[in-house]
Amino acid sequence: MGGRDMADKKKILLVEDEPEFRLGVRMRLESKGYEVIEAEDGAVGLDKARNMAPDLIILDVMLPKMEGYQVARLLKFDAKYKPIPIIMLTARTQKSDKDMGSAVGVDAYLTKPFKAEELLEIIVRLLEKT
Amino acid sequence: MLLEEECDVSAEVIKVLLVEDDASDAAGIRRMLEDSQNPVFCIEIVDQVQPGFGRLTSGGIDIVLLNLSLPDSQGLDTFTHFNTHFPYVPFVVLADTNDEDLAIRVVKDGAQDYFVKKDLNRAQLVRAIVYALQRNVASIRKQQTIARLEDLSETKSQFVAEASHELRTPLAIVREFVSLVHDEVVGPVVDKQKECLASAIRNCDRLTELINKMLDLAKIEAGRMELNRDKTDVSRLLKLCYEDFLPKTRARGQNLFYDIPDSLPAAYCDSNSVSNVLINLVGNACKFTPDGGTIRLGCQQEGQFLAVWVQDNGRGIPPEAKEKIFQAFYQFDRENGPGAKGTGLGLAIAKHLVELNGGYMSVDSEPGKGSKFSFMLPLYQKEAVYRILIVDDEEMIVRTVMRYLNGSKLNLDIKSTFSGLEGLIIAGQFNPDLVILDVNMVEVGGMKVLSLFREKMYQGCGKVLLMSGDENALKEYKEKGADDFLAKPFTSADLIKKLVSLLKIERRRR
Repeated sequence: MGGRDMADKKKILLVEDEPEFRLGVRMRLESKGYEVIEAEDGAVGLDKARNMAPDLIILDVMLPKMEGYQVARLLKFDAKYKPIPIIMLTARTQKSDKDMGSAVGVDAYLTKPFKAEELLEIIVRLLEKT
Repeated sequence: MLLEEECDVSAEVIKVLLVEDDASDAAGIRRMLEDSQNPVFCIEIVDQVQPGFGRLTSGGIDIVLLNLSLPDSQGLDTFTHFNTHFPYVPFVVLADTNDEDLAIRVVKDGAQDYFVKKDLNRAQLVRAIVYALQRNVASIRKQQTIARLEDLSETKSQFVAEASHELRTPLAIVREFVSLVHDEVVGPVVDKQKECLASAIRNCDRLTELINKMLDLAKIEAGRMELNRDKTDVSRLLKLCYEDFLPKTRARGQNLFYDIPDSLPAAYCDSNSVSNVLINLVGNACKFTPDGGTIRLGCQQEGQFLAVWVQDNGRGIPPEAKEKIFQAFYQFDRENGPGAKGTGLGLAIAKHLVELNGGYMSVDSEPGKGSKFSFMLPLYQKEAVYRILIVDDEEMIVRTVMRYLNGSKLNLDIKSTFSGLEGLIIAGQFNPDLVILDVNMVEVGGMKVLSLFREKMYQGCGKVLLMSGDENALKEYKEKGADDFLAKPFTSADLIKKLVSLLKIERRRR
């Protein structure tokens, strides 16, 4: 991590209200060379998404202040932020959640608990596309 | 117009409201009831629907004797009118001679009993009223119990859903931190530490699977599992499952084969759930088959079904376990040796999913001889062909029914048998949409056959129409699980009318 060019480091915005969960994911992502920005609720998440130019957003469905889908919809329906890939995280497994996700246009969907490798694979795949 | 004064209120008296416009019939019935000492009746008489309504609304009436052909209403409408507004009051219907068919219909719609007026005698009427009151109480209690049970089932399902969501996040956090340490993200670990942590991670995954399965099972039991049934190529699902499991079986030196005929008709089912069932069955087969053993997947058409099976040559299942193996949380491996423990829910869910897809599941196994788990799925039908099975031990009846059916304009596939037991066997393969069943067969009575159908057969058994010359069977049929009743002798029109009404309902449900 020390020798890397700052421009190479991809910035991931993590929007999730459980602080310990955020910590665990942050440690994992940083160990893989990503820079991590945190947001503890939907409103802060939306704000940081618009102002800090993340390369990818990890967004939990259940958030205080503004629902995950609401944040996702606002970003995806705005041409400026639409290209940023969004991974939705959820503890729920309803089919309706997945349908909602597709309707809004999120790029991937993960159910907690998930394996770290799965998350990392999806991130690599989505970042390669952009 | 209220013709008689209201009675004194007394606890031991049965208060009857007679809705009858023929004055002499009314007087006759009044006389019959007033003669009774035990029980004692108090009769009020009205001659039209409106005052009848009014009297019922004031309350205090235990039972209504209702003539269907009143001046301000007609036939079935009269009863429906009353029953809708007063669903908890028992009704006994009085019919004129030529209304007998109609009377049978209103009983089916919820009236407690019926009488043809000219055949009425006091003993019969008194008995009918007493029984009607008893049946009504029982029926209300049953309805309330059913409502409460449905409520409880929904509550349970919601609770499981809530609990499982709440469990997931802390579980995710535990898994993530343990795996961070295991993966040496926060510093080096020695091998022994890695092993410990790996074990912790595996069990987090076990917990996750258990939560997912509990949620599925609760959803299924509350009737909230969403399935998309459509034309499906089951051979493709089998091949996908085969490809998924190939690496795992290779690693253990197990041989995995599939047996699929070149031309296979499509099934009518939800591909996701059928894949889940296959994954469960093949996973079990791998688990319970030793290294070097053999597992086969196959499917073929069997009658009106597509049969799918997974066979292994593993240790087999002893008879005591075979009975319980589809029960939730029953773990075969708990008592039977080493290997990673499962959730105990897989087969329970698999069986439910197969049944929700209109099929049924079974197992064939003996200790030391391996196991074969099979399930049937209904075939995809492009045009609606209704399959009818006629079960009656009188040849003439069978021929008559066939003649009537062939004379209808419907697209029918008809089978028949003189034996109730054979009927059960045929139905297993034929999957009839409608079974026309005689109540009074000599070898095994129709009612017994009916309960066997409902017990042993999967949910997609279809409708059952009972035939009988015996009016008493009328009262039992609904409780035993028949969907409708046809009194012999009947005309072609009678039969076809019943058929059309029963099958239309069936078609929408499927």
